[in-house]
Amino acid sequence: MICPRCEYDEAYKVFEGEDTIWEVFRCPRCNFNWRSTEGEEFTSPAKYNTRFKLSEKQIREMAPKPPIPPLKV
Amino acid sequence: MPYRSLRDFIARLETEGQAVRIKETVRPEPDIRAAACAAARMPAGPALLFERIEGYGDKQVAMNVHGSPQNHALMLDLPKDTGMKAQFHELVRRFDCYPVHPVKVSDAPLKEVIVDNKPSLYRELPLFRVNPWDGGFYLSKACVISRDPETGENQNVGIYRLQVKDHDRIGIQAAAHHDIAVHLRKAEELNIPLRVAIAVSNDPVTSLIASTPLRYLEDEYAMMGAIRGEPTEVIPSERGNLDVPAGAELVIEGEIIPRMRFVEGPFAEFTGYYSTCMIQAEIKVDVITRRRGPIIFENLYSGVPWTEIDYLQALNTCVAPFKQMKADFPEIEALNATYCHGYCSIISTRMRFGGFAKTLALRYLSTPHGITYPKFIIVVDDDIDPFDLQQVMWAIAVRFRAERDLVVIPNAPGSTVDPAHLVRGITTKVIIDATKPVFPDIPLADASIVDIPPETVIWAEEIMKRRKVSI
Repeated sequence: MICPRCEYDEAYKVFEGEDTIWEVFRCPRCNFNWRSTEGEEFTSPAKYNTRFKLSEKQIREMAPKPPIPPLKV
Repeated sequence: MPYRSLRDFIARLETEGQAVRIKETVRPEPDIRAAACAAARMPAGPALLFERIEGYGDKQVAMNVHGSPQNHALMLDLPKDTGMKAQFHELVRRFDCYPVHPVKVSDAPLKEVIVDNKPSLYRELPLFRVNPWDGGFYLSKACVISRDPETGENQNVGIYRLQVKDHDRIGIQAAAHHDIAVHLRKAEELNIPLRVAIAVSNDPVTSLIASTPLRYLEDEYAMMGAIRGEPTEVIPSERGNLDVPAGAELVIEGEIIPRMRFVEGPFAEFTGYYSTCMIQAEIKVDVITRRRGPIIFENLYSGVPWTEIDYLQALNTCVAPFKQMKADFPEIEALNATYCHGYCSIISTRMRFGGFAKTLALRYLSTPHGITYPKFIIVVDDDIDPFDLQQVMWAIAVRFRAERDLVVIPNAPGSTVDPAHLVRGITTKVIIDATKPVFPDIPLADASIVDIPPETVIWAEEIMKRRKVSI
C-alpha cells in the first residue's frame, strides 16, 4: 500500500470497521492515517492535495517541537 | 447543581433545548465535522450527539458541547440567556473561591473495563478526521494529566492536540510555553519517560479549566472545584501517580518517549488555518480504562471562527490573565480575550494617571497567557464594554492618537501556530491605547461627551411594547 501523502510504499492496514464497511491504513514514515471511504482525494497518491504532500526531504528537515534539551549530567 | 460527567451535562442541555440527537447513521467523514461546524455557526448552537456512526457499532460521538453562549452559561448553572460580560464577572467571582481541593474516590464507571493487553485506540474510540487535511484522527478535547518528574508535585491538567497514529501511539503537541513542556523538558534532561493520563469525554468544567491559562503552580483540579462550587472527584491512574477525573468516559494511560520526535500534523487550529507538519513528542499507550457499554466520545471541531473552540477557549482565557493583572492594578475592569485565543484582546480600565493604559497592556504581555498569544491589544476606558465591538470601535475612532497611542514591539514571543509569523514563535505586538488621555497627558481637544438622554430607557421599553414582532 502506498501512502497518499508521502508515497512511502510500506503503508499498511491497521483496522477495519464493523462488517468491513471501511478500513483504516497508516504510513509508518509520515504517520498519516486514512480511511478507505474518505474519497480518492484522500486515498489516492495521485490525487492527494499537493499543498499537503510530504517528501522524504521535508520530513528529514523538520524542526523538533519542543526542542530536545541537553542531558543533565 | 454541578455536573459530575458529560452525560449529566448532555441531559441538562436536552431539557433546555440545547442538545440535538442524531439518530440516523452518519459517516465518520465528512458528516460529523460538517454537522459540528453548522451547529457552532448557528445562533444558540446546540450540542450534537451522534448515536450511530457507520462502522463503529454502538459507540457515540458528542460535538459542540460548549459551542454557544447558552451552553457556556448552562455549564456555569446560569440562565442560558446570560450575556458574555455577566458570565465573565461570574467566572471572576468563582475564581476567588480557589482552591477547592479535589476528593479522591476509589470507584468510578471509567474503571469498569481495564484494557492492558495490547490496547488499541482504533478499537476503543469512534475516531474520525476532524478537518479534511489533518494528518490523521485527532483527540481535540481530551485532558492530559502529568506531574513534574523530578519532584512528583505540580500536577497539571491541560488540553493539547493529540494525533492517533497507531493502535498504541499518540502524537502530542507540547509547545515550549505549555506547562506539560516543563514536565517533558525535565524528564528529557534525565532521559526518563514522562507518565501521562488522557481523560476523554469529561464534565464541562473539567474541559473549561484544562484549557484555562492558569499559573504553572496553580492546581487545575482545585480551580475546577472553585468553579463548580464543590470538590471535583478524582481517581488514581492504573500506573504512575496521577489523578484522573472520575467522571471521564475513558482514560488512556502511557508515557512520552524521551528525547524522540516523530512526524505530527498538520491540524486545523483555532486560528482557522492548518498548522504545519513538525516532528513532535509521542506517547506510547499501555493501559486504557473505560465504562462498560457504549462510550460517548466527545471531540471538538475547530475551523474558521466562530466554532466551538471560540466558546470553550474564550471567557476562561479572559479570566486568568484578568485576575493576574487585577492583583497588581485594581483599576482594570474587564478583559476580552475571546478573539483567536486572545491574539486580539481588549482591556477596559480606569486610568490611574497619564500613560497608564500602556502599563496595563505591558502587564498583560507578562502574564503566562500574554507572553505568547496576544499580538494586538486595545485598551479602552471603563465606560466602554470590551465585549461590545461597536463601543470599542467608537473608542478607537474618537480617542486614539496614532502618534502617541500606538506602540509596536517587534521580536516578541508569539504563538507557534500563528499563520502570520515570519519566524515561528516570534511576533510583533501592537498596543492601541484608545483611552481618554488624563493628567499629565494632553487631554482631548473636545472633551465633552454627548449624554444619552435619561428617558431613553423608558422610551426603549415603550417602543418594544408597540413592536409587532418579538426580537
